[in-house]
Amino acid sequence: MTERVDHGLLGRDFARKDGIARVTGQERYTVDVSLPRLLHGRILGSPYAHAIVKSIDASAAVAMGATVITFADVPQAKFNQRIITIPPVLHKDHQVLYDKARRMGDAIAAVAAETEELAEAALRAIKVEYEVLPVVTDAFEAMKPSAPRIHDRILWGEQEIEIKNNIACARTVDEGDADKAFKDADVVVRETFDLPKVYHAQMETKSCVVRPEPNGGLAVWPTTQSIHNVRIILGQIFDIPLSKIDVRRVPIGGTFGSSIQMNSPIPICAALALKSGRPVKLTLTREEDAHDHSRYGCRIDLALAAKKDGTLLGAKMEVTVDIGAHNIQAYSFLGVAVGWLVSLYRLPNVRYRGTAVYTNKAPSCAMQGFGNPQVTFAAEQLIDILAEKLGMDPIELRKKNYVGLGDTFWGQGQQVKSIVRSDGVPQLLDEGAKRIGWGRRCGVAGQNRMNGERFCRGIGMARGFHTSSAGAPQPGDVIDFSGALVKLNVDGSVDVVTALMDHGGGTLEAIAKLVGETLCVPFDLVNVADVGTTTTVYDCVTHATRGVYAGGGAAVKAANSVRKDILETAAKFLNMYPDALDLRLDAELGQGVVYAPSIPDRKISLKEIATRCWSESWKTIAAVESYRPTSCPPAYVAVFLEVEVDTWTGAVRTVNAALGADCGTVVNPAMARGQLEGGLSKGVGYALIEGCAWCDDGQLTSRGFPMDAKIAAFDESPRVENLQTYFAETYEPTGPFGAKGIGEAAMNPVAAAYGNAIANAIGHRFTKLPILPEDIVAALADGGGKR
Amino acid sequence: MSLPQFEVQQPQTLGEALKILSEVKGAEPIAGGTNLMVDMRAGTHQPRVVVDVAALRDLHGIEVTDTEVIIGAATTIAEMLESPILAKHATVLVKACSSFANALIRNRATVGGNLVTAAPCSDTAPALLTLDAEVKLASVRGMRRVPLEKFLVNAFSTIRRSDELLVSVRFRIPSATATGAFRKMGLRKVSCMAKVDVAVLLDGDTTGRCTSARIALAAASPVAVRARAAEAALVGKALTPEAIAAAAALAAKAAAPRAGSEYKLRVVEALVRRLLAEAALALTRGGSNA
Amino acid sequence: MPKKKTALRVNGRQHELALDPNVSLLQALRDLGYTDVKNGCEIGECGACAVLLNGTAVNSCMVLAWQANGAEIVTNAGLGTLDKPHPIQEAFADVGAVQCGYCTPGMIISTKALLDRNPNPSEAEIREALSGNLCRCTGYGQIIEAVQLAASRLQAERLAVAAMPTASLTRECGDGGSHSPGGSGAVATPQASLTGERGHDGSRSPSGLSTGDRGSERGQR
Repeated sequence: MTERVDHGLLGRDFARKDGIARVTGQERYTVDVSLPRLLHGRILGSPYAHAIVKSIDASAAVAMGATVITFADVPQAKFNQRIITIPPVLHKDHQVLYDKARRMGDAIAAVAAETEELAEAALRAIKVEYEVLPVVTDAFEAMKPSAPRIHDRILWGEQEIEIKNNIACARTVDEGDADKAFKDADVVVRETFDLPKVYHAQMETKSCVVRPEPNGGLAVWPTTQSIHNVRIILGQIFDIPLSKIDVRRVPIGGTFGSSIQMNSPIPICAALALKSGRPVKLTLTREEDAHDHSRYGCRIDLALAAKKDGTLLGAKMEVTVDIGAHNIQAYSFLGVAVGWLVSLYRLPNVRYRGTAVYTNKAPSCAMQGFGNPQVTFAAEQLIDILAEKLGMDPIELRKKNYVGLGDTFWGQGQQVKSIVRSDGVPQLLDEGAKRIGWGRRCGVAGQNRMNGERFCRGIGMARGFHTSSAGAPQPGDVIDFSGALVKLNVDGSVDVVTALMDHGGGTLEAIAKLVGETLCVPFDLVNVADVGTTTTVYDCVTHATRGVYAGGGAAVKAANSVRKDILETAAKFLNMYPDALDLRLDAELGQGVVYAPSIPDRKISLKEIATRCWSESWKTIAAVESYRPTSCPPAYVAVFLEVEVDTWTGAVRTVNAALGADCGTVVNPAMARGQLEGGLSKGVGYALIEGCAWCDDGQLTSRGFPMDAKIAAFDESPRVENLQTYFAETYEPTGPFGAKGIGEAAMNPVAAAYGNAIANAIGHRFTKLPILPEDIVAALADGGGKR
Repeated sequence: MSLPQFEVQQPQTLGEALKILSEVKGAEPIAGGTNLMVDMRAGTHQPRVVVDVAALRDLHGIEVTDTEVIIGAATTIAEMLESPILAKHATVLVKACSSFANALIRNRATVGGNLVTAAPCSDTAPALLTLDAEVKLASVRGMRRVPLEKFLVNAFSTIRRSDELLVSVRFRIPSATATGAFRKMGLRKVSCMAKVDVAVLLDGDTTGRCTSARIALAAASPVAVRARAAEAALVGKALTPEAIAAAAALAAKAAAPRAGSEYKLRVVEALVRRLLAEAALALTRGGSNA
Repeated sequence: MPKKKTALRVNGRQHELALDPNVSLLQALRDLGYTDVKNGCEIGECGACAVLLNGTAVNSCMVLAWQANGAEIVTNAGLGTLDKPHPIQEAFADVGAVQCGYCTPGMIISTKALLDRNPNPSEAEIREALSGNLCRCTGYGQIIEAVQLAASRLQAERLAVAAMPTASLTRECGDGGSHSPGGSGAVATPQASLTGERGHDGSRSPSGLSTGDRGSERGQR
């Protein structure tokens, strides 16, 4: 896409633009938005995980001065909170409020009042009569004919469909001839893996502020990953022209996928604002938030067929997904689940069956990796099992089979195929092996334990990837494109106007650098504008590790148009041909200069160009572009770990970690490192600590942070000097200045690496997450050695 | 999220506080509030009147006499961690305090609150049990001193009557050679409910014979308990690996976790063995203080 | 319920309030506009709402406002400003210890409490002192580095001040007061270059990989 010319912005760490505001406490998140005459909203969530609302009497709440909405007061059409999937195949079972609760906390009614306390008192005054229904919390139980029926009918596209056996949707994929591959194989390995639903535990709970506008429209400050999708869905629900809905981009206190959809409080808050005629703020409590969303829980039955020399021949995979009470993106999930597998390793013959099942639990939505950590946990452990069976080094087996340079892959589903054009996997594996001391790894798993030692160390690794965006050469099930506006101001500074969200990882910093690099403008002269939906062109959503690659691609495309305009305009001013001119950063001037390499005195600064365009009443040099990535290159990651298992207590300590990434050109080094280390932290939580548990009645045993929804704290990270990060030297030809993504990739292989390292340490392999101390102690007591 | 409504009383003296507790129905003392605030938000506890005892002078301070250490009930865990008196006379308690919740909570939570709440996973209770601590309860009817072991009845249940205030905790200064050890096993290293807490306090003579042994467990049973049989098995014996292993096995029997907690029994046994071995080793080196 | 008269001195400003007894310090502070005090869980698990209460770091969600009557409260915003951030705040920004930033004010408060007591903490002491603060983004490594960097900068400042003949005129560095709005203590911190660049480690390892590990970066920050 772009030539590699180094103007000094990429690959260097700058003080981040929002850094000082964040460290001094000046940053305003949604929860900090305050408006005149603001009302405080609260949701009446169902206290039952499965119940029909027989009647609601809100008269007492109304008498207290509260604005109250119930099912009858709001639009009842079904929608999907997430509109990344194209409309014809979008499953729709969400409503603003419900007359039937399908999980604990499903919104039955909502109130807005002058104070939070009054709102809560009003909630308590609402009398609801429920018909309590039997609850099902297990996906396999839910598929039985005797199971309670969670949804009867939902919409698929515009078509009403019946839900049978609580199966939300199913997908099958057959490529090649899997049966033949397994018949021809010398070795077959197979295992069943159980992955829990875990809570995102983003620090800021879901929140929203909505102000009704005099023109009948809405101004919205939500926690979201996509302001434009929030706008579109609100427009559809409330039948308001999109031109009257402005959704503002607000910094978000973490999301990790939890705000990939339009959050459930948003339309409720909008309905309260419309009814009361006043601005309303609605923030979920931690407990409400924990009931609202989780990672997809699944059972994965995976078999791999291989030849004696380690060549993989094929795979059979069956995935059963617990999607909770609502279908946010199960259809896509089932598509990518097999995509992750076939994009990890060359598997010419595949049979795949995926089933998504409703249960009376928190709805599953994307969470860092969208099924990839789940599938990678299965695949990367099974590869180690295969290596052991074949007597091969696990790294060699991976090198032999991984999907790399020149291979076709379809990480985001069958229609999203692309060819790998940059591949740092060998570098990642070799460097990681060196850093962790792979040579020290004991070939016999659990050797120390057999020697009777209390503390057993083990070394293990796993590799993984994530697609940078869901771009593809053809349209598919998934919407993926970005847009940006870039303009040159009269003083030579630049505004970048993009709807892209930055979740904290530095996406917008990267955008500023990419634009600065394209236009030879110093970093501090590039402004990333505060925006809303009325002032930006569409960007689908910051997800799928696409911010830098696709959002950056759009920004660079717009910046290149501006660059062209700058050169053409300068050509007129300098009496030159545009093709004879070039741009460079002039260190003395502290800004970009257009110059003629062949005629040294012909030059003009960006400031002079822009000022003349203005003073001669000519134009603003600006461009707006949309950009559709036509591929979604894999950002590769390798995670090498040394762990120590206390065989007495089952405690696992991370002794050493080496985390490597191939994200193409590293745009923000310190922040890229932060992504890897953050990935390890969330990964160790997934591997060893987290996992939501539900009581039989559908209540979370945790109710939020305490007890079983723990996230990793300081002491779960290895000592600072024992944690290394490194980056492969690659250049992605389709990416902006050679860049790919990193975010989700950073977490995808972590749990698998723990599984492999623990297996190496104690000779027992765990197929269920989290791997708790009690599981380890029990396994060792049983003699261990499960294979 | 708002807390339920309640009234506040701020007595200036212990006498006033006791009077309120005896006369006002539904009155509950508050000091650090780290338990009460959580319970009130969860709706599991709704006092009508909250009595602020944090400022009462009688409830503060760590004192040492010739024979005893006395800790005011409103002493925070952080204050205990920094106390030179406890560092000198009760390292087992200091170690327990260093495992307590996290740094922010330790600045508010008090020893009295921790004992009165009587959570199964209390960190201070097992350490104080090994010190044979007594609690002092005051009411308008007078004072009574009760061994901590008797004070703790069951999970979240003590013998404290609703008009009584826990004023202080005291224990006899352990012998100069007595050696203590404490270990908490949880899912995370901080801010977690203990899966198992073990505290031990051993004393011995120069020949390596055990003269006194106290072992206490928390989180392994509904309330913190002493492992008396294990203690008895050690006293008078040489602290050999075999004797320690036998005592550890007995300690596991003292634990009575809920069904299906095979894990806890194993960990109790492993931790008791480990801590006894540590303490025994320290004893042979002349011992440290508790 | 009768209101409780509550006097709070927050970041040097006096507030005389009459509050319901059930108002938490967290809620009172946010209602007063100190929105840098973040609500993360309201059960003392995450530390996002940490403030200094008479110099001690506490979860403000665990304190009833009237319990803080008469107390001196410092929130993160009271340590420094956009123009003149506190060296701890600057260190967090400089080493990439901030991602979404929601946990940051609480982290900085715990750091302040630590460095006031212990100017040169070990890594273990840092982990202990910040053990009540959760972060879901960073994985904590860069936060530990930020605390280390802040400690060394504050030490350097102290030495510089001590070496000045007029040292007695300057309050101790690292004291929040010297950085608060209108505070007199001019603080020399390592200045960024004009473009704001922060000393990038551009070194390449022999294998041709660019390296992001601390072994090579630490000394350069």
